[in-house]
Amino acid sequence: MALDAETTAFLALDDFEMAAWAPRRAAERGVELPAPALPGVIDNLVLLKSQTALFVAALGEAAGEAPETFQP
Amino acid sequence: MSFCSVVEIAGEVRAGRVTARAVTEATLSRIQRLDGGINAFTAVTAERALAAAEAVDADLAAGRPVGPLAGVPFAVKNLFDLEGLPTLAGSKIRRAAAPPAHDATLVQRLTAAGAVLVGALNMDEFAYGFVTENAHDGPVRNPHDPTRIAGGSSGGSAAAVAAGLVPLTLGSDTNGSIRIPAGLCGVFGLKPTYGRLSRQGVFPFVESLDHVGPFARSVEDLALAYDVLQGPDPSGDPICIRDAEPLAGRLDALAEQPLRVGVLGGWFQQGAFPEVLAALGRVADALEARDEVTLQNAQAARAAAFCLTAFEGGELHHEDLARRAMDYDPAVRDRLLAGALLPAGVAEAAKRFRTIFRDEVREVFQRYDILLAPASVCPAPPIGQATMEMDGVPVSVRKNLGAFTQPISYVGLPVLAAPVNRPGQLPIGVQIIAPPWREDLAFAAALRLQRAGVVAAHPPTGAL
Repeated sequence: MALDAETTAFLALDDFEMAAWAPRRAAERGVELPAPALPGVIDNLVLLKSQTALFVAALGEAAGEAPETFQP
Repeated sequence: MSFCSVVEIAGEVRAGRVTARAVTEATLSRIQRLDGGINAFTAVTAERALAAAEAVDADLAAGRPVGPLAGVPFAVKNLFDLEGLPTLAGSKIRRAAAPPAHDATLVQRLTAAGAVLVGALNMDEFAYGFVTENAHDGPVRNPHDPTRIAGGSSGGSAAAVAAGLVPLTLGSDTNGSIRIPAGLCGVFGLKPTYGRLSRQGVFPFVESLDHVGPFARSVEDLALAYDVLQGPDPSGDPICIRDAEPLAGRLDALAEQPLRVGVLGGWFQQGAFPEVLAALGRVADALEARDEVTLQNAQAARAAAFCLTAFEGGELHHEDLARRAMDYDPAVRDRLLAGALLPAGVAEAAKRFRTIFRDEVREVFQRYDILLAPASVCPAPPIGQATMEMDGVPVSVRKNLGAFTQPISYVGLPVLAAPVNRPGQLPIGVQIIAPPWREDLAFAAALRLQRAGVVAAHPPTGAL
């Protein structure tokens, strides 16, 4: 199964595109990004994207499956 | 009584050689005298403490039974509900929150066992960090070197125990927030199995990953507290349904049994400072751990925990971020805002990967009873240091101190963080990791190490 379209699009962003994506996405989510926060938010999003790519790659074909209820 | 153990204090109080009131007064006096240099406490509940101590003394005087923690002072991270005191969770936003009507379940259990609450403790805002450099309450200073961090997010909980202000505290651990400060401050900390201890009355951070647990200065003290804290609480925390499995009476025998111990390599040693690896080696030698064990998916597991944390944290704070983002600690705000923008599919995938990594770990625990790993990459960095080097690459301290703890809490394993015996040096901690629900094995290994003099909590030298 594939990842959902929204997550796939997020992973396809180039780092330099994050500055434009973040305010757009914030508006969709009903959150305002204060100017002093913007650089930090963008840095964090770039990091989150790279981290997401890591475990999605490890998930392989299972990436789009529904998660089970977790038991340790 | 500054560095007396939980076991000693309770024994002396029960035997009538000291009153609970005297212990409490001495504790309050020491906090007043020394906490200015540590900044572990955000509130001291002196009136409540003295009343509770007097109640213990009255029970003893009347011949009524008292609990196993009679007269033992304790304090809790300020995300635990305390009746009549706003639950700050390290934030500015919650300073005006209505005080809870009841204590959190774990506070109730300690109190019912005779322990005496003396205050609430400093932490990273909303538990999102590993440094406890709180923008509103100031940094917690490491008792072993006040120019250095105590670690976080339960920094106040670790520092208060390390400084001898109290012998017992509670903290929370989502990604390493008990294990890292325990290691950096040189005390013992327990992050139990996910679901073992009730989170009722604990301000949440990441529901999928939140754990709570105790700090103390010896394995015996930690075990005594753990036994009091255990037991189901399904109405307060739906995942806390497991019956108590007390350690009392069986720990000595367990510590004598053979243990199959492996040392986590690969991801769990990459970038670690040489002194951290040397400390880990001492512990491994003492437990006759010969094998290096690699978890192939550890880095991906850490990444998944990182993203799940950001997503669930962002969701939890969505409303406040939309209304008053500038009232957050800037370092926390930017991470939560980024998390609030993540697609939900990221969190779904992170949860899916969790079972895959759990199954990999389960397979390894077919061959081992205990796995060892460093608690953190390095000893405590200086307060204010933004970056550190891992494998020659500068990385954020705030985001990377938990590199070795995050994969483990991601799959909910029990871990006892123990301080390697290095008197006069900056503390270094090791994670003693057990299979799910087998905290007893982690305690057994820790007890064996403590008896061999390989792990120990030392009073700070010089600084206090």
